[in-house]
Amino acid sequence: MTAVGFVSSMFAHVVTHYSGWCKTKVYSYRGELAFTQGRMDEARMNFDKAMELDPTNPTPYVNAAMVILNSPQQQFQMPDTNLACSLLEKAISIDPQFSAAYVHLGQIRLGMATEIETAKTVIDLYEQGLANCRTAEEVKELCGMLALAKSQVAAAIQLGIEKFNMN
Amino acid sequence: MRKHGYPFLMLFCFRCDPYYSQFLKAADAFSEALELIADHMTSNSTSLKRQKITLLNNRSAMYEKAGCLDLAIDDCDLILDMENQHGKARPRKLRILESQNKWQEALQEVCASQLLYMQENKAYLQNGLPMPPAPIPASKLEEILLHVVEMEKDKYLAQMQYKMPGKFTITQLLKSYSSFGDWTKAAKDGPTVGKFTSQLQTAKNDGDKVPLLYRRALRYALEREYEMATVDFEMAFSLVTDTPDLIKSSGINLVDLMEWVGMVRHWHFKLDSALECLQQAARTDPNRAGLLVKQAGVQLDAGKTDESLKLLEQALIIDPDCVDAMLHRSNLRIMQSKPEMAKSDLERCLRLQPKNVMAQLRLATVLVSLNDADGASRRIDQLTNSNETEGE
Repeated sequence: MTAVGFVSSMFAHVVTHYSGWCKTKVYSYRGELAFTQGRMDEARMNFDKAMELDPTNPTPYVNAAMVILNSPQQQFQMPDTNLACSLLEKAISIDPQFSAAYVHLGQIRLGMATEIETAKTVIDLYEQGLANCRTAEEVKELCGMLALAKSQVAAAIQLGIEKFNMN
Repeated sequence: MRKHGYPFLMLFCFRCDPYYSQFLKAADAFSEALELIADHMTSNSTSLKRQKITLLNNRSAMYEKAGCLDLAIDDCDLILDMENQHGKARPRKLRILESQNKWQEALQEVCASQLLYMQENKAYLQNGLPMPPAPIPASKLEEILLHVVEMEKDKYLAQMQYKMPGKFTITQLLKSYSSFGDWTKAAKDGPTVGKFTSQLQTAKNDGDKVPLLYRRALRYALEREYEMATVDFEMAFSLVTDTPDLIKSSGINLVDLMEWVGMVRHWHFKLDSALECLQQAARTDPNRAGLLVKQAGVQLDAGKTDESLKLLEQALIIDPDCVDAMLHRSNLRIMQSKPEMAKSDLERCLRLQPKNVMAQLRLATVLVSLNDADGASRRIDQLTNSNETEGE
């Protein structure tokens, strides 16, 4: 049996014999394992189950958003970024200190922004994230995102570009 | 002086060196040509506009070579106002800004370049086709961004207020200690918060209040009201600190109280006072290994990995079966990218507590990272032969 196969068996065993908090952790771990193996549908199913079992855990919301953004799409189809955004917003509402959620949400919103005013809201989002950072590493990451967003907005204004969206 | 419009700057950057003066002389010549164009230029003079751009570009290059960097940038800006995709003006401006350590302005130029590149190649992007190479490599963007972050981060670090982690995070932490089941059961079996509150209102003296505050704090912790739990633990501790005799009549174990106070201060990132409290508790009860595990957690958050490790090792000397120390040391090993050592701790933990789900899940991820198929097979045999039916 491969290590991945063993882990899957272990998860199945725990899900069968354990309850409550244990199961939600297992579904969350199972989803992460499937994600790293590229099994996106399975990953999404496990994250959805983890959310259902414990809605106070912000991690599966962020992970589910990552599945949406990283799942292979058919030609000319875009990922459901609105759904990804709502999952990330939910994660932030559960835990305002979840730095990774701000990072991903800002990136999606900036990519979706059609007007510069919308792009400016990303700057506000990063400022909010920075106000909730707990470690120096989180500060550095969000600081970089903020600096980049500000520069992109300033450059767009300088060039007279009214729309960001390339679609 | 030539009519550059910046006589002071010219004086500032002029050098009595034939090498530089030759560039300034060349810049003068381009300035004369620009003046001639200005005399003849009309709004429809597109060819003259082209010539103006060329002359500005050449003059800008001469200013750069002469070390008159601000003048060089000014000319670049004039070019970019007329032709924002000019192939040399923006790279020159970027180069100069970098040399002047003007990192935020440099970042803006990189972003401008990228935005223009994306606009120009919109069709490729929309059709999912491979794009031509970007004018500025990603590595350059990263390099400049690092400089900007270095400049900006201190402002945010100074403003950083350490807030308590989210309820889910604190709950996970509490569940990682083997005492979780004991105190939660006692709290669940006891009175409600409301009941404790009414009893506190009628409490006659501090001696009566201490146990009520402590037990209400545990009930708050059970209900994940960690801020309220903090207030009650600190209040109980404050009363006991003021009047040490109160602890004898309270029925509360002082070390238990100090352990909780140390934990809640850790949650609030009051690391020094958390450590002090836990150390004081450890001096009172030197055989409680769990206190060292909690001190290790505080030291880890303080960035003192070595001290944290030593405390966990000491905990295992005091109590070789301390599963909390094994579990938390395995975390530390994972953070140190030492999966084999993490695996060893987790397996040892599971021999003592086969039902420890957190250890099982951590071991699962460690095994995947090690791709240890044989070890995995042995684990599944043990797991399937056991009779675990316990929940949390």
